[in-house]
Amino acid sequence: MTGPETGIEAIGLHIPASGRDVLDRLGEFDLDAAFVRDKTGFVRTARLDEGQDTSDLAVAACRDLETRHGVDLNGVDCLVVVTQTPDRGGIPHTSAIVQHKLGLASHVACFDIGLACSGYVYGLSVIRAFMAANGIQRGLLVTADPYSKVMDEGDRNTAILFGDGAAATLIGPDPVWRIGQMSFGTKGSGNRAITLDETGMLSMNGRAVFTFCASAVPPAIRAHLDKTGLTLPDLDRVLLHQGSRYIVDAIRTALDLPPQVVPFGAAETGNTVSSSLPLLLAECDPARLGHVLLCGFGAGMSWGTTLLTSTVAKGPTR
Amino acid sequence: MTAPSLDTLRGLLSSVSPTTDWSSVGPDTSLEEAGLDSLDKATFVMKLEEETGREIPDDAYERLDTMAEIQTYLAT
Repeated sequence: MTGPETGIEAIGLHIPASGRDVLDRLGEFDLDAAFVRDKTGFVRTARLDEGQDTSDLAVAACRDLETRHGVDLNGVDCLVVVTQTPDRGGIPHTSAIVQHKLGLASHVACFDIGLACSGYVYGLSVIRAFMAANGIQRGLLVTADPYSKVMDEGDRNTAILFGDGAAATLIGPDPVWRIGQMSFGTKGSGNRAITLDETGMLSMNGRAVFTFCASAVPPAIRAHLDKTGLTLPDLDRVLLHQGSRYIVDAIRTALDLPPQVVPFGAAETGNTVSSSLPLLLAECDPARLGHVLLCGFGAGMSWGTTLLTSTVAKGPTR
Repeated sequence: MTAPSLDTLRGLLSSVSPTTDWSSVGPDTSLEEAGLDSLDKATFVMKLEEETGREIPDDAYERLDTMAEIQTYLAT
């Protein structure tokens, strides 16, 4: 049965070998290198390999759990995929395709969640509740949102920002990260800030997205901390969705936290949407970090915050 | 409506884009040409909205590119 200790046991990752070097495209987009390095922060944006689809990204991240963490995927009884760019437009749900490609048993419950950059935090809450409600011991939360499928490579507002990637998070009874209570929010009036236009291509109002992030996220994090009884100095890491280096820096500055506590780690991948948080979390050593706050925010506009607590920390070291 | 002074605008610009000497930028000079990139412009206008209590819609945001244009817009 699922118990109170159910949390994150391991994270598998996949970044495609293909990609675009943004520094090679400065002339195309009338950019300078300093803007790319210091402002957007993305010097490379990963792209789906030829012939690959969303389910292939998801499968590769799950296989990474097997090869790098020794996870037996046959011990998993539910599979949740967070994506807004599913295979075949979403019919059927991508998680069913992933289940088939992984060769998982037919008793495995599969469903998708249609959220973007807040999707990992929402997904953690949903899968944990689903497992608890149905007596499931182990489940997989997969994030895979290759926006390149719906992106005009000539669009400066999106092509130099978004990258393709996936993460597979194993949820189970022997966690290294205990998952705390969550806080969520939605500002639906901003639903057109990141959307598909009339031609079905990705469109983004960068000003609206930035203003939302800079104004909504810092108070959301402070409000969530009030619920936990912790304060900002208690946190060993604050992992923010990697919308851009500029957004991460703006929120970090508003929270008055040092750069080492609020990392930017997406320079070589781009903004991988719902995968940006697990990609960062995978770099955190639970033996060295006690409290890690996650905050995902983006399309919707939507945001979600939670606090992870290490079960194996030997004492925080920043 | 009272428009913000040039000193106020220059102070806001300096706070978001400190690498440019905004005190030497004239009221009719293009902010973009003076060094205000698209991300700093978003921050500048957000702070301007907070300072003035006025919302600047996207069409005006795209159009406004000098301190004089901003003053005229906010004076109406």
